[in-house]
Amino acid sequence: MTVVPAKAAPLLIVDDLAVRFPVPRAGGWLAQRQGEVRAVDGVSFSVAKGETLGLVGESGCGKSTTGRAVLQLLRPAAGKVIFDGEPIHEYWRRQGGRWVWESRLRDLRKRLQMIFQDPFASLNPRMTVEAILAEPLRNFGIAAGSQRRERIQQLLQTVGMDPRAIRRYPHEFSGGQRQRIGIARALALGPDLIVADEPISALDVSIQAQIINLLADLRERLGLTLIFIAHDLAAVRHISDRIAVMYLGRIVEMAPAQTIIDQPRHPYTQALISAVPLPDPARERSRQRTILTGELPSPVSPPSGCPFHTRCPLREERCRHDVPVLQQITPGHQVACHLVE
Amino acid sequence: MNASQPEPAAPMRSSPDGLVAGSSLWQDAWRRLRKNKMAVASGVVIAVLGLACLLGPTLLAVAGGYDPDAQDLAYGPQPPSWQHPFGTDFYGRDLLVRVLAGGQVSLAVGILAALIAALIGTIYGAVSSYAGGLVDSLLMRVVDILYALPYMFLVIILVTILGQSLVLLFVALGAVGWLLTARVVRGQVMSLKEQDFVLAARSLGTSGRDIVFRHLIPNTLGPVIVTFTLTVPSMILQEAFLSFLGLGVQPPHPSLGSLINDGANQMLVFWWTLVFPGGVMAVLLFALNFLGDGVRDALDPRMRT
Ligand SMILES: Nc1ncnc2c1ncn2[C@@H]1O[C@H](COP(=O)(O)OP(=O)(O)OP(=O)(O)O)[C@@H](O)[C@H]1O
Ligand SMILES: [Mg+2]
Repeated sequence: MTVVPAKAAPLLIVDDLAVRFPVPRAGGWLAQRQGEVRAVDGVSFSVAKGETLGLVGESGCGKSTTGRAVLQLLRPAAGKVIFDGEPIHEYWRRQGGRWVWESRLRDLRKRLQMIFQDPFASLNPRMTVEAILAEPLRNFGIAAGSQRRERIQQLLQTVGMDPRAIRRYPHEFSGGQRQRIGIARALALGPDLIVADEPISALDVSIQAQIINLLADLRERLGLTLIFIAHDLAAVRHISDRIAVMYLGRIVEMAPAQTIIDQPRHPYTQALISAVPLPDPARERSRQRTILTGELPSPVSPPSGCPFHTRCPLREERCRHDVPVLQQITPGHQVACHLVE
Repeated sequence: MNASQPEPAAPMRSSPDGLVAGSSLWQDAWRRLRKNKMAVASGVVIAVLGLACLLGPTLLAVAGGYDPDAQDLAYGPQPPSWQHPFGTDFYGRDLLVRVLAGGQVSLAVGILAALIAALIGTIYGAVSSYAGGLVDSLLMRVVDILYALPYMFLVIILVTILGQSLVLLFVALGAVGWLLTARVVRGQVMSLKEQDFVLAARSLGTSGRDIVFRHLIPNTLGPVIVTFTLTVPSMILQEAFLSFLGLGVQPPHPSLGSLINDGANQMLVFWWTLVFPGGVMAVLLFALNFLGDGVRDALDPRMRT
């Protein structure tokens, strides 16, 4: 695990980020935009250069949306995204009634990349491996002809694949190999920050460790900064330096990985930890389990007060009315809960 | 486990340059199509008919002096014989030559009109869907309106305005026939553009135009080809109908439609004038439809019912 100097200037600062999606209500042609999903609501964090931040939460809590908004693949409704000192959330302009990237944001694609969850949907089935990996190079006019092919074969070697495979099509590979192709594509432009959106959750358990190890290895070798998204803690605890836990579009707890595992303070984090088996059987037997009850509320109409209060085993009266803010309880450990001093 | 250790791959075939040969979805589809006996037989029938229509009239003219348009009223209608296997028509013209020449026209009109329809429809549908929002709504309302108008009525108006020529005929048919393709493609692109590979392309800095032409359209080609193969026979029928109305190919030049029309008027007396053009038309349409079904199954095995 990399030890990150505490004073290193953050590569990425996300401040009060919000993303909303309109939900069309029933009621005909002209009834538009009456409701909205607050998919991400007031999310703030920062990531230092070379650091890996794990982003964890249940399905639908807004992890992917956060990742995409950070990369400006979605335009944030509010908040700031500062990448290497540049306010990239401002690099948009309106054109023909919709928001498009300014050219400097397009240039930043070289530094901001994404790895996707579904190794089948994320590769164009009609393209060869060569065409898939040539696309980013062509977009930015990097290398040409035989040089480009060499580049592509190097990329394949970097992710541990046979460089002779460039003529093959995605459907000819296994899930793990496809994921390697996806990783090679993300690396093609030499990025600094990669958002890996559940890169292993669609893979066989036996392959998951290989891909995690590959990512950890690449991170060391290429000095990558990672945001690693997963829906359970088990998947991120070993690769992350810090972990942020999300619930209904908000971060409810954020701390160094080991602290989250050993001393979770938010009742929701505690529930997530309960779901991860402990390696020590004695501790596994004696520990207290927090079991989540009830359904995840809809982000279209989130609960008042603390978003978690409808399922919280420890809720009090004030949790229904007051929204808890993310507070620092010890250096580097932040929790959003009324019950935590 | 070592990260650089590749997983076992599927067996690889090597090609001369040392690279491993891949097999595209098109090659897989071609392999499946060749296994479909009905489709192969239909393909052969279409190829034979097509070749006969293409070369037949010229060969017969050179070899035996058969002319599809030259009349011999004194000779008149004769039943099938060795000299005239399909018989002759009311004006004493050899029916075999006329059927082949008519087939040429029908196939050309059908294929060219279907090509025009596929081209317009694919680009229109893909652009509309990828643009989304207001642009998409407007473009699709246009399609809805055209759809609601009687199709033949539009063709007839176009033919009347543009005048009657073979080129204008398939332009008119194609210009109206792209609606189905546009809808098919739009539906496809609607789901395709939500797929991660499109988001990935955006994230790699690919332009909107490249996304439409390199990612979206190639993935709609399957349904487009299927629609195309099924549009050809429908265009042939429509040409026949137009000829039937006297708006299609002008006499004395034949098309299958006008031959059938002539034959229908005299079928009780001179049965062969209907049976032969009608038979060829039926065989052609059946074969085209079977081939279209085969192509559909080959391109998407899950669609097989
Ligand atoms: N394009 C969209 N339009 C409307 N709503 C959306 C859109 N994308 C996401 N949402 C909604 O935003 C919320 C957050 O979605 P998101 O995909 O970010 O969750 P997630 O944490 O990544 O979940 P998962 O683990 O299933 O990937 C969900 O309620 C989802 O329905
Ligand atoms: Mg997600």
